[in-house]
Amino acid sequence: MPLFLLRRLAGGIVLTVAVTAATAMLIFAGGADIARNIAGQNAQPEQISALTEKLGLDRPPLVQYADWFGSAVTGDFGRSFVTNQPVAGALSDRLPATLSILVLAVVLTAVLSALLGALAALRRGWIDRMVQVFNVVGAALPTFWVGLILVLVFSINLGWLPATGFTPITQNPGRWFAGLVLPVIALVIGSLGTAAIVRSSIIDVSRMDFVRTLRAHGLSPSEVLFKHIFRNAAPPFLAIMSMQVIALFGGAVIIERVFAIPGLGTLANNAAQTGDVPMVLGVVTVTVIVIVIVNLLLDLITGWLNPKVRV
Amino acid sequence: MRRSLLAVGGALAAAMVLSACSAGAPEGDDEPKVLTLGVVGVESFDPVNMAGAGEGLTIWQGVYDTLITIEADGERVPGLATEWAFDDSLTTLTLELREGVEFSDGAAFDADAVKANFDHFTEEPGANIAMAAAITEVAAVDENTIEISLSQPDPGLETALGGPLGAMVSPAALAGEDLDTTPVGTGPYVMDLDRSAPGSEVVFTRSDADHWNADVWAWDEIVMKVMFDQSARLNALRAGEIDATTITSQAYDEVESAGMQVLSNPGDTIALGLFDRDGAVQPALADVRVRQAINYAFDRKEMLEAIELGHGSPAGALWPGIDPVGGATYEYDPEKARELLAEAGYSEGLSLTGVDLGTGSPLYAIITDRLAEIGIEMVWQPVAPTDAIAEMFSQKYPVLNTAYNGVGVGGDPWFFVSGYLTPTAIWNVFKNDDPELGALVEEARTSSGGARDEAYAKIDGWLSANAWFAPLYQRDYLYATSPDVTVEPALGNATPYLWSFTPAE
Repeated sequence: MPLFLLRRLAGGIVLTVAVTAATAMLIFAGGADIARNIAGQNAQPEQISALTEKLGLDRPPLVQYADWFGSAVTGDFGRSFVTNQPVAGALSDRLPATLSILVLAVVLTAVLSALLGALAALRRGWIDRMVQVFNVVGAALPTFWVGLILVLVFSINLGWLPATGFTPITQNPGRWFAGLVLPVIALVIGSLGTAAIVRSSIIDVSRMDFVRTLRAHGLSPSEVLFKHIFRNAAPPFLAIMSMQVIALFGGAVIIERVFAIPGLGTLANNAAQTGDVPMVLGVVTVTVIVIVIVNLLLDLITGWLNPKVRV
Repeated sequence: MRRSLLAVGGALAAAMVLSACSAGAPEGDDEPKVLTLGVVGVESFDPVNMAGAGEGLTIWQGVYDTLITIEADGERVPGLATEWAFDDSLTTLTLELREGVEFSDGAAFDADAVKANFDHFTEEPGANIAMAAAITEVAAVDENTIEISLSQPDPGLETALGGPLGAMVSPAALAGEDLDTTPVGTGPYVMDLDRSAPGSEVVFTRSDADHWNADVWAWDEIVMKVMFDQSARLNALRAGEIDATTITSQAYDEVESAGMQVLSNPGDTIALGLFDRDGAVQPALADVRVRQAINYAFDRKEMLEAIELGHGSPAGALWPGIDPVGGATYEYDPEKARELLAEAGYSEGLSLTGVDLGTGSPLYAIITDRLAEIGIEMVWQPVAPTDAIAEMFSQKYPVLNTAYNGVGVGGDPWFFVSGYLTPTAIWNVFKNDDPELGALVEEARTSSGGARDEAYAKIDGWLSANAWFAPLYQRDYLYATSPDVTVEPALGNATPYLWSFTPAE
């Protein structure tokens, strides 16, 4: 197990370095344009060259990246080129909102998919048809559109839930939750297709020979279901979930805009538009780390369910 | 399953009750009066970089006082300076400073503090540096008198002193590292640092210090919420989460039918800037007949209707209250346009390139169609947002779509002259230097009062006769507010000034 963990961690570090390096190279290729863009349209040429020098943009891209990387490993992500705000501060301001959406959406997707998928597989009938229809419809509806409709109905017409904004959980847990209900539902509606995977996975496993053998040996139906069918049906579900996490992360970026939630998405968007290199690299680093951690957790769960994977 | 559904339902119900209690609850008499604005972004609080127009200007008006105050109707009235006067040569401005004013960190506001601000402004490279370009020296004559010396007369100086150049920051904050995110001024409000997060929300609470102009400020607290997306801003407005925000023409009907008020204020002129007037990239543009032909190609009413749904007016005189002397008006007349092109030797047509900023505006397609009608092929080059500024000023494109604030903040015509017409102006993309126009600009620079307005009138006429631009229409600045708030439009500014927001009676 420790070896497995170490290998995964090493992979995560390599991934972080590779992704940030690639991002940096892509942006630094612009060179003088970054300073031009940051200085604004009213800037005079002398001012742009002064800014280029001040921000160190006249150095080779590799040197700039190495410089950033050297500071980043010590936790110093520098200051924003545009707002001069410390990047680490901006990230820690923004991360709670995005993580709140992501965690709730992932948990809700997992729980609902497992429940609906299992019910559809075991009960069949109307619930099965509902899951199948939901799978298609949910995937076809654009998240931002679902978000807008939810706001129109539940915030503007009924006045039940906030239309925009984010309250930190430490400030007011009730408001924190209220503000997340609509964005999370909008996201989860698009990801419930996972239930169909659970359904087919359970059906496949139930038809396997070993299940028939277990039943023939006289094991109780619930024992067969919980100990054997679910455990064996879980890996495909977890594999899909690890992809769903990335999709939900992407969805969170869109939904943040619709609900004016100050998360990483809006930060990344603004930073990318202005060529704010330290901010973009900070967001990319955090994003990669979150995704690596989530995948690691899912790998651990998969390993715990099925020792065969734990090599 | 049933139990978990119940739990989810229960949690949802609890969330709804909690949020219903907190959001949009009516304010009683003893409740603090809070103004909440939806803004597109909160940029720097460093005067060298902060916005001098539009929403960005409104954002800092509660924390910084300016030396001169520009009222909503454009009148310049005392701010931190109680009196000011130019000498006869218009190159020395003497200001008397208000006494007994303190910065929110306790530092005294005096001539030394003002000098420190000007030093910061002229020494620190920043977006607003042009506002101080003519300043050669700032001297503290005595504790409450400051003298600004100029290399040449600067008609825009008073407006600048009512904007970022005149915004006074505590000297200690000027020297600190957090000036961009943490304003320390003499204004009636201070930033609540615990509740503000740069880029997402800024909260201003009343300053402990007595403010010299406290009566005009109606609110106990002012909150700026950053909402980049227009649909989010509209939803927040309709749900009662914000009191006011900027909207586009497309949102006008939705906002009005939802019972909100919309403030219309004459705004930017949308124009095709015929920048290559010396024909560096497209020689045809050096011929005034070609530039005039382009002006005859557009049906301005149609464009205003198609793009802004009629919220604006077909472009006319540049400056309100100043009638152009001479000049030309261009009605939609493709026949005449083709004749002019033929006269200039371009009966076979010609080709122009411009920058497509990827806004998805129908403007690009309409311009292309109309120009095609008179035999001009218009090619739009798409550019990435990060390259937009560099590309636009690269002198590769003979024409560009431009939206200029002709009115100018506070109705100051110099805003446009210095930004678009002088040989060093940023938006004089090819740095054209016409002696006739140069003489008129010089006349405006070195005169004052009615004589200066006369010079502006001649400049306006000259511009249309020489077709330096193809103005298409003037769009309205639209600003939506809830019925609980009253507000007054500010001349030449996209958003109302912060002090003009008051609770509705």
